[in-house]
Amino acid sequence: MSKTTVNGEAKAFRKKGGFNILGKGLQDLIRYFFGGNAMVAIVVLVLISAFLAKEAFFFFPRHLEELRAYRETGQEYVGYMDAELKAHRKITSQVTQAYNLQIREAAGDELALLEVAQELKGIIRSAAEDEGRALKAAEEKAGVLEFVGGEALEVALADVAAKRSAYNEALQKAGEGVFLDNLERSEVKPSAEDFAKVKRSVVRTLSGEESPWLTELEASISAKQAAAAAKYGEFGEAVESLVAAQSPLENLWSELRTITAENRSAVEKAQTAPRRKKALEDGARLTDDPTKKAEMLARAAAVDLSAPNPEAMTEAVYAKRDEHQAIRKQLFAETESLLKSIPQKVASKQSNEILDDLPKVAEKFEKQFAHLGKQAAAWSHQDKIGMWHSVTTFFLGTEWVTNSSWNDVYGLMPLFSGSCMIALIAIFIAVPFSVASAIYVNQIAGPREQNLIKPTIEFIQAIPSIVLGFFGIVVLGDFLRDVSQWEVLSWIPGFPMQERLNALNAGLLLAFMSIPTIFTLAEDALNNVPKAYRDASLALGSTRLQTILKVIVPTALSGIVAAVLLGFGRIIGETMVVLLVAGNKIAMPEFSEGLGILTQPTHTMTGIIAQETGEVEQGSLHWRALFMVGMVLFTISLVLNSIAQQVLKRYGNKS
Amino acid sequence: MPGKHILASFDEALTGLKEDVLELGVLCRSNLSISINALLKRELDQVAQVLSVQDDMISLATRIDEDAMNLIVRFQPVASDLRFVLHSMKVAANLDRIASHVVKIAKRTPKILAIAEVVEVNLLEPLYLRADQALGQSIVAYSDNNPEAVSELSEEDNEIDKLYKKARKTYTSAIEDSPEHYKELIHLMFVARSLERIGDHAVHIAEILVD
Amino acid sequence: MVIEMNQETATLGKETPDEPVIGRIKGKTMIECNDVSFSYDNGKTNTLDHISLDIPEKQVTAFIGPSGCGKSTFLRCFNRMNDLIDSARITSGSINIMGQDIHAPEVDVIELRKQVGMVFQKYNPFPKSIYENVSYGPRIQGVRDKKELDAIVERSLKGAALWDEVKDRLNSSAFGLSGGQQQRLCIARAIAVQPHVILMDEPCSALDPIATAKVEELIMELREKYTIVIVTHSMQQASRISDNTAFFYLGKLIEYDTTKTLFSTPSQKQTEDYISGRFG
Repeated sequence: MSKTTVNGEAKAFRKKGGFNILGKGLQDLIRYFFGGNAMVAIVVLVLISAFLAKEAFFFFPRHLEELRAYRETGQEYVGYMDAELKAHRKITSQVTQAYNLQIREAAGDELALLEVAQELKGIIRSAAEDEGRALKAAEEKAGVLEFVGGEALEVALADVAAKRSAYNEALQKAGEGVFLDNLERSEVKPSAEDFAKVKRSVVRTLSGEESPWLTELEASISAKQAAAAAKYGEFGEAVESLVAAQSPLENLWSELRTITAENRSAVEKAQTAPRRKKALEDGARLTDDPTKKAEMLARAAAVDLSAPNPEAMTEAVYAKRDEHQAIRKQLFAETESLLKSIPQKVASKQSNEILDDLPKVAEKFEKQFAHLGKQAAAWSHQDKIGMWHSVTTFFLGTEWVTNSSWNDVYGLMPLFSGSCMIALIAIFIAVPFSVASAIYVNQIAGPREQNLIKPTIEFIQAIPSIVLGFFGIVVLGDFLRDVSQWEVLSWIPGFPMQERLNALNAGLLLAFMSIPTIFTLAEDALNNVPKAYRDASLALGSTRLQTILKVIVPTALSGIVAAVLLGFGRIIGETMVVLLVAGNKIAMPEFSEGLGILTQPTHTMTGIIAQETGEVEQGSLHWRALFMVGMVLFTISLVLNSIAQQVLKRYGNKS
Repeated sequence: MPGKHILASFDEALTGLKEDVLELGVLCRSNLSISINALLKRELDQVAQVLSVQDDMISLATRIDEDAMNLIVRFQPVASDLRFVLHSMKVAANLDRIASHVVKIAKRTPKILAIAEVVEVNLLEPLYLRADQALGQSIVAYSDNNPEAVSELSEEDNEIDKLYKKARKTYTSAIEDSPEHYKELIHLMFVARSLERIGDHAVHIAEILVD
Repeated sequence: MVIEMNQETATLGKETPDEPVIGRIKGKTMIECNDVSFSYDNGKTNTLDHISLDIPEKQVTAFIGPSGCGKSTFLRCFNRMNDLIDSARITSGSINIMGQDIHAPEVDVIELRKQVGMVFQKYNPFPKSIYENVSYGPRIQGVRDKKELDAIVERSLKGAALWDEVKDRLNSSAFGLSGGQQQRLCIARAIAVQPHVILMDEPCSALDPIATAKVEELIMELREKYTIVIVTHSMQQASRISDNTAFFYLGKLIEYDTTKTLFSTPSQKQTEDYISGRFG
């Protein structure tokens, strides 16, 4: 290696040969390769975002068109009528229920006995099942032989008789073998005497005989109920009248509904007309058959491109407006007066519960009804709907109705609130568990415990979400419902639960799924706290607990917060579990129940996409609406992740 | 100095210091011998030799001081190392004084030789031998780091003192008897005195080693 | 804990020839170690081997010795920081601080550590403000009154010669200080709980010479109120600031004497060899 050239100048520090393409050495190529890989990931991400944005963006204009169509066809007006009817139906259904309960309960004891009889029937019959079947077989055989006649028939008939007596014997024996304790379903346990009577009557009935006692019982029931009906005659009449009062409004509504529905389909036809025309023209161009060609062209020409006239469409509605107002007023007045003749208290406790609630429901009805009336009076098909309205209706709308023959409504709120509810339940459960476990494993547990707990928790991540969803449906739902029936827990809002598949179920499973995510990151954050802090704190005479709470956790707090945020992001984006377990009811949670909403079934943004993607037409508004929901999810995840990163950057690295 | 230091340069510095001090000691002794012989045998040219190396002796003493200080600054010696360095400095200071006495004798010798010889000059020989022996012993004591030597050397010094007193007495009475030789006799007395001082310094050297 | 006044002169070890410790240290005894042996592996091997020495109060005692000789381990025995290691334990002997055996079952380690503070090799202030760092000790002991805490913080920072430099920024992060200031902050934090003993494990090894000098000066001042035991690699530092020095080698105590004596006329050849830089 000569260090100087022939001239004697130092030729220092030059690279000695090596791989070389286009002036770039091996190092550079390797750098470009790695850089390129990173770029590919970024480019794909950008493309996905751009695609989502594009598809979602065109949602709002189309949505606006739909909203306008809803108004211009007069459907909106009919919608008001629909709401009025719904509100009124709430009242009628309540009073009807109260009335029926009362009538029924008038013969409460007897009905209970009837229930016992039913159950006993089942028990005894299955006890004598074999004999019963044998009897049936014999009867069939005899039936067949009836046409033959003669000796065989006689033998068969004798056989039947024998089987019958055997059956009756079996029934008797079964009847003797049943005791009060065997009754599982019946809530009311009859007295011993009554029980014996019931048994005997059941046996009799099953044997084909008449049971006078049973007949008497049934007669007694009808009598009592008839008496009750007579007693509460006014009540019954009022109920009937209330229901009847709905009819004029119903009829008008039905009439207008048909008209406006037709309007709507006309509008939709006009919307698709250009496309149809083009399709026909293309088809005509492509086909070789001259007759077909001519036919297609003719059809294409016949396509009506004109949009229907809003004035014409809404004429009928305006015409009926005054009639509507009149009917409304009458309905309202009738309802008011009829409600007065509803008794406030009756004999049945359950009815009373409903009747106590009635004033509140009536009040709500009044308010709603009045409000709707004003809206109907002020309605005009010419009222402008702005783009802003399209946006807010989507983001703040409280209904999500698709595949409806009437009108599709796309409102995000039920789904968003469902997602949020489940996410909040999950976070409230997961965070204490994971953070506490992380603190325990990192700071308190010995090495053996650490080696046991850590891998176990991290294994949870490996469980496929479908398996958890399956578990939720099959096991957790029943378990939760049974637990919620316990007396001791009845103070918890929302207990006892009616549904197995609800937000609580999904929330618990999602909490379970997110525990490893939060645990791992939180434990990492705790691990990164330098040991020197612990030593310093202990050397100052603090207990281990004080050291953990006052020094180590505060130092690791930014990492823990980031962990929680990331866990939250994962929860919001989870699809499989919520689809299977959350109950799939698309409605705003009834906040009137307070915390009880947690045990209601609900739907989520992720779930709706998974559920409806299969049945949606490409390019339709529904399709775009789903994209919009996806966009919202995407944005939420993006925001959560960037906040988590910011938190880590700003407050992290305390060493 | 038992055992080697991990830092080799430390050992080298200490060794160098010791060698310098020993060299200075040897130079003192040999030049003293030359001076006295020149005086006793009446050979003038030897004196010139002594005078030519007097600068060397002075610069050697200076160098020893500098080296000792450098050693302290650089190596921060402690315990026995520190004691050794301090001893070396003090011993060198004493040797420097001895050297100046040797030079005084050398300077005085030509003056003595210019005058006629006196028989009392022979008194110097036993004094010189004793002083030389003391000097030699003190240098050995330093080299061996032997504090015990001090008692022996004190005795030697006592003997030197006795010899010196006797010589002085003899010279003083000789001046009374033959006043015309007073110059020579006074010079001889000064030489005797230098020899006696040399003996003292030798004892001092031994005393330094005791601490 | 009651301070028991022990003998005026703390003697060390016995006079038998094979016992390596001799010398007279003057002063009332603060820490008394009797035949202490210590092991990191449940007694299989001893890291410290039958150490006996007494540390007098209100003086600076230095532990010197080559790496791995056990001096830091020994230091950590005094506030039982070695308890944090599972397999570590005292295998013989006892350590008494102010007359109390610190390994007795009735002794609360937390209380012990409040009386015996520690400053570490690498300064380790908490990621909190200066004020919060110094007030941490008193706070966990239950002091809540803000005025009282303010007074304690001021006193401690003054005691650590840091007050003038930080009094205007008590609420700023402790990490904004220089290395030397952070170490003095750690000292302030340690003295805020007013311990009787301050243990320092090579407190200046991470500092530049000027910061080191400031800390050394601080130690000299602290001597008047606290008993200080300092582990150091620098013999010059030990000779500069300590009153007494103990030399350890391979887990044994080789020599323990006043600093003046040990550095000028050590009695053991091993000590002489070590301090002169001669080994082997």
